[in-house]
Amino acid sequence: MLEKLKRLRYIAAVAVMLLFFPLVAMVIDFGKNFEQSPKIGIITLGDINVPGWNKSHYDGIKAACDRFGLELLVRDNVPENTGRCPAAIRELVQEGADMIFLSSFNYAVESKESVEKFHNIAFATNSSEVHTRNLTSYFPRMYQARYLSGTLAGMKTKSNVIGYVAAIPNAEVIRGIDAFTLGVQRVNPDATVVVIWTNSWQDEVKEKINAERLITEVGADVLTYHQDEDTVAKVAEKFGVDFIAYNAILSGYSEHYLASVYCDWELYYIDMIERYLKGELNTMKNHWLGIDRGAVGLREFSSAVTPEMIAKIDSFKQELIGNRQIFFGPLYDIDGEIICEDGDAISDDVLFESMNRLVKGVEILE
Amino acid sequence: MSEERKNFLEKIPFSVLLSRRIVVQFLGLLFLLICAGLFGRTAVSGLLNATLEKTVARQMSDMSIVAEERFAKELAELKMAAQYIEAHPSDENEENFLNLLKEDDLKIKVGLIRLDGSAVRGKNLSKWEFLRLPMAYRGNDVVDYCPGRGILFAVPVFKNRNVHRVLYRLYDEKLLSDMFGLAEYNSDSRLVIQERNGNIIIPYKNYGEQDKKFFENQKIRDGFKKIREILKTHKSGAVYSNSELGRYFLFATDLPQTNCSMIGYVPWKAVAGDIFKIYTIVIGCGILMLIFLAALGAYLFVVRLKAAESDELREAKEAADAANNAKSAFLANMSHEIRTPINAVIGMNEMILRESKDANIIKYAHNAAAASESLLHLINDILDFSKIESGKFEILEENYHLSDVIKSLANIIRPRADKKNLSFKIEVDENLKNNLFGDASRIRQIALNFLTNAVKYTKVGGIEFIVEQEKISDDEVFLKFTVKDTGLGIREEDVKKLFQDFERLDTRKNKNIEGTGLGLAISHRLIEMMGGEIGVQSVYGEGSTFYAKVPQKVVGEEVVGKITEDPVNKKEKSKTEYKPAFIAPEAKILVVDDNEMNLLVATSLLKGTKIQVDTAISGMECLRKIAETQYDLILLDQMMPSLDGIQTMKIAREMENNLSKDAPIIALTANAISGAREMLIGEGFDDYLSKPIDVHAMEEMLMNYLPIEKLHAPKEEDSAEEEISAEEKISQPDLKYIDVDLGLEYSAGMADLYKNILETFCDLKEEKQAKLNESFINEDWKNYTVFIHALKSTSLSLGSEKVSSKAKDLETAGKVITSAITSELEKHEAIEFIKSHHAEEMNLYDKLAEEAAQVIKTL
Repeated sequence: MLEKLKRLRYIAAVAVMLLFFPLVAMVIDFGKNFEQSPKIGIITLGDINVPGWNKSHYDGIKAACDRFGLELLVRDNVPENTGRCPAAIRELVQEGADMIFLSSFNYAVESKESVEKFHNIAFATNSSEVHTRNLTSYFPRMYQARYLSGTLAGMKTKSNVIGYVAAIPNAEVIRGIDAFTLGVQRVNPDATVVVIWTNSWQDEVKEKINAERLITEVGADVLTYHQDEDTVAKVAEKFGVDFIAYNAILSGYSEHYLASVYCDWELYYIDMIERYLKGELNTMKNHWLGIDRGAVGLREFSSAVTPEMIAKIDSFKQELIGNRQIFFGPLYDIDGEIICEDGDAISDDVLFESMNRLVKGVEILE
Repeated sequence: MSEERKNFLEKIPFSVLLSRRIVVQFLGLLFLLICAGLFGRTAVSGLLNATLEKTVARQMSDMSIVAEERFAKELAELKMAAQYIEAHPSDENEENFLNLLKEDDLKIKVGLIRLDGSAVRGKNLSKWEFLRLPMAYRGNDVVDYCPGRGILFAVPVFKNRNVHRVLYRLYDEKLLSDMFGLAEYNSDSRLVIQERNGNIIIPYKNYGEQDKKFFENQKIRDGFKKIREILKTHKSGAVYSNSELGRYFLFATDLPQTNCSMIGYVPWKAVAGDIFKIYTIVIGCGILMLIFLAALGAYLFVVRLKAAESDELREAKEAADAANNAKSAFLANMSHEIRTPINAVIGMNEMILRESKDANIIKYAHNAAAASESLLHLINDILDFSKIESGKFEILEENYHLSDVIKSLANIIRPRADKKNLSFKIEVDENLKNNLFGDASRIRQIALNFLTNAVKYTKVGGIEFIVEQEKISDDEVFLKFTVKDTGLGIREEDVKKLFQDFERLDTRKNKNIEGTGLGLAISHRLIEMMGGEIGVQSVYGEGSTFYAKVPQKVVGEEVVGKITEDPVNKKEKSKTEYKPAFIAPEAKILVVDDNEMNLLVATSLLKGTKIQVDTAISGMECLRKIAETQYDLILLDQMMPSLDGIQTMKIAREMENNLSKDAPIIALTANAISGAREMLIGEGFDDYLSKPIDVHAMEEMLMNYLPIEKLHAPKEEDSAEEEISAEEKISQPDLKYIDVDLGLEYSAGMADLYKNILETFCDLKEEKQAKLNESFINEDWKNYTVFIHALKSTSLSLGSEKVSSKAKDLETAGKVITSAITSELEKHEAIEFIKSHHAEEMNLYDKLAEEAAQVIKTL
């Protein structure tokens, strides 16, 4: 009898405990679940696992999402101009994405209708072809880093010929070339920048030919490029020519690898998601992220870059951080026509959307 | 557990141990509950505060949007001017627009500057004061704040799509309060503008020393630090802060496109307000729950105690039930056992009264009659009580006349009172309702009990009997009997015990007063069953007043009128000289009993009525006889071997060639135990007579059931009676088994009756013994029990106690075997008993028959 009572009592105590704690947990949960964290989506052109442009974006946005504890939804291997992007947007929205980043240049153009249709979803992209109320163009002032790399190239060149393998003549590439050229001219007014077009973001064969031509035909002794991958770097390394890489910190190169023009994509996405969370993302049509925030810069100078050079480059960097503009008048184009009068400055909107003129000091290798 | 502790614990009674444990458990539960309560309070308050934080934050978001819209409006105005200047670049235009924008307010400054900050018109602006100004040089609209200078709005002026100049408007700090609508927020709150880096506070309007102290408080600073974190991912934020300064909500929102935040605080009370009355409600609920739990705990405690005791209780109850069952069985047995001899006593005594002329003998017979009546009375009391005990007692309600009840009571009590030289006064209001509906016989019983007690316990003085009625409603009254006596009275402490079972007060003093002591207990229970009230007032040594009150329905308008008592000695006389109530020489009845003795008694008692009495010794014979003869009535014994009374009755009712089909069948039974009457009538008997047979009851019954045309008034002349000398000495041989005196006693001293019985016994002996043996060999224990029962009664009435007691043992064993509740072991033992004693009994039976034959010769 007593034994029974005892056992009964323990069972009751355990039951009370078992009931008590889920209740406690429930109450806590009730308080916590008040706010549901939003989900972020990204659509990329290539595979997010292959090193390069796409992976750098994926890694950046992933790190940013982890920082805010948000869920990241990914659609990769979505080719442009196939109708796959609008479908991917629809899928992401169905999965509950609240903000979507379109990481390729033409996505916004082909998905304008989808973007407008999902007007409750915040969109951001890195091109400025299209603007809607819920789509903001987001870009780092990569040209500031290009400017600094130009000063480096200008200081390093002996032949006063600097080669530039460029992909497509759009605003982004052109303002890069222009800033680079203005940088070169800042330290070396005699040097010219020779640009050769591949007309593709990624074409290993053409990039290789172009790089070789720049070295052999025009005698460029410093190369840089605006391509998704580092074929040009390989060629330069092979020829023993100095080069400045783009968007990636490379490894396995000699001291000819002077530095990389880099962008801190993590910071870029943190800034973007912060603005989204604060409800400020779509308040502007264009959003720049500059060197003042540490978003862009030069990285890992090689031993071929002297401390004097580094100090000089740093002083230029401080100027930029102190709001010095790169594109101010007087500024002439490749044909000698004035782009910007003395005392005036090119506006961000133009830089972003319609910078289509190469500055004086650039030559094109056909 | 240490030895000491063990010993100690063993010394503590179980219930104390249990209760201590319960207290500990209860305290544990209470602790848990308090924890839950505290937690709940924190959780609820946390939840509410979180909700309020969100509300406040949302309000701040709204304020931020309002500010944003003001900025947008401001910038739009400037942009319009800038566009106009771009389109129509002339000094005049510029001058005009700037003047327009100035609004003639000294606190507003307007200017147009170059990209290096130098003024074209108005004043220079330094990018070191307005850090965001260079954004305008890049073609963006700018809102910026500089401490001491004020808030700046700047827009680019384009020329050929390039940024050419910057147009600005600068508001003095003093205007900001209105600009941000700071006054429009909650009147209890304080709002200030702060730079985003959080270091410099720009106070506005009602900002005083107290506010400064407030913002410098460490906890408040921590709160704002927390808000800063929130603002990283939210448009606005608010936190609840509880410090020595009091309870506040701190809040902040970033002003869009500026380097500024709006921060502030509002007293907790102003926001929370009545919402927190929920605390009171929650606490109230908590307390209620605590009380409920305490009650539940107490209840569980009691239940557990009970549970712990219940096993013992159950065992005790089972034992008590068993004892009670045994008691009931005993009572039933007693009733049977006692009634059979009393039947003979009363019957034979009646015969003496009827037939004897000797005054002495009649006097003895009277005494005997009185004694046996009081014996019967005792048995009836016991039976009543056993009925009530077993819940089988029923209140049988019928219409009756109150006057009849009072009269009959008076007739019984008057002679007894006279005998003790007591005065007996009846006080009855003539206007009492006479037609009542209720159990008259029980009411009479109660009143009689009071009255007989009064007579019994009163030595000198008198008895007063008062009958009253209290009106309850139009058709219901309380009938109240009050009996006052001048008897012994009752001690105060004994009054309570008065209505308890088997209680007799003052036993030493009253030892010469007879009775079971059950009378009042029965009365008490009866009154309770009828929904009435019983009570007593008594002064010890002076007398008592008993009263009983029962609700009765009134069913007529008649009043009681004057109560006329029968002449005092009428009853006495009717007893001394028996006269049959009727005679019915043409009537023919059949008496069926397996006991010749009983047949003889019944026949003798009916002699006076001149009814033609036929007898049958078994159910079978009864059936045979009713097939041959038409009887007017059948008296059928219930307990008989083979065919019992019930079976016989049922067959008779269905038999085709039954000449006596219409004859009522009355059951005769010694089983006057509770439920017997209902059972018998339920089985189909017309009525029922209990043994020992009361001659008056039997005559009354016959008068009811016999055809009216066969009933006649009794003749005046006494029927010639034979004189029987009981005193006649009979020389007896040396007898071992028969006590002739005892036998004669059972035959009421009538030698010829005794002889008759002995002869019958001898005649039937062989047949009966054969049956007994047959059932023994067949192990037919049911019939064996019936037969041995017959032998028991018969042998006793012959005067052979030896044979009878042996038969009784065997009968008991037989009953054990046939009982449904006997265990297998008990059965086995009982069978063994019969097997080992049967032969001996048969031997005795033979001897008894031999001696009986001898005795017959001597009679």
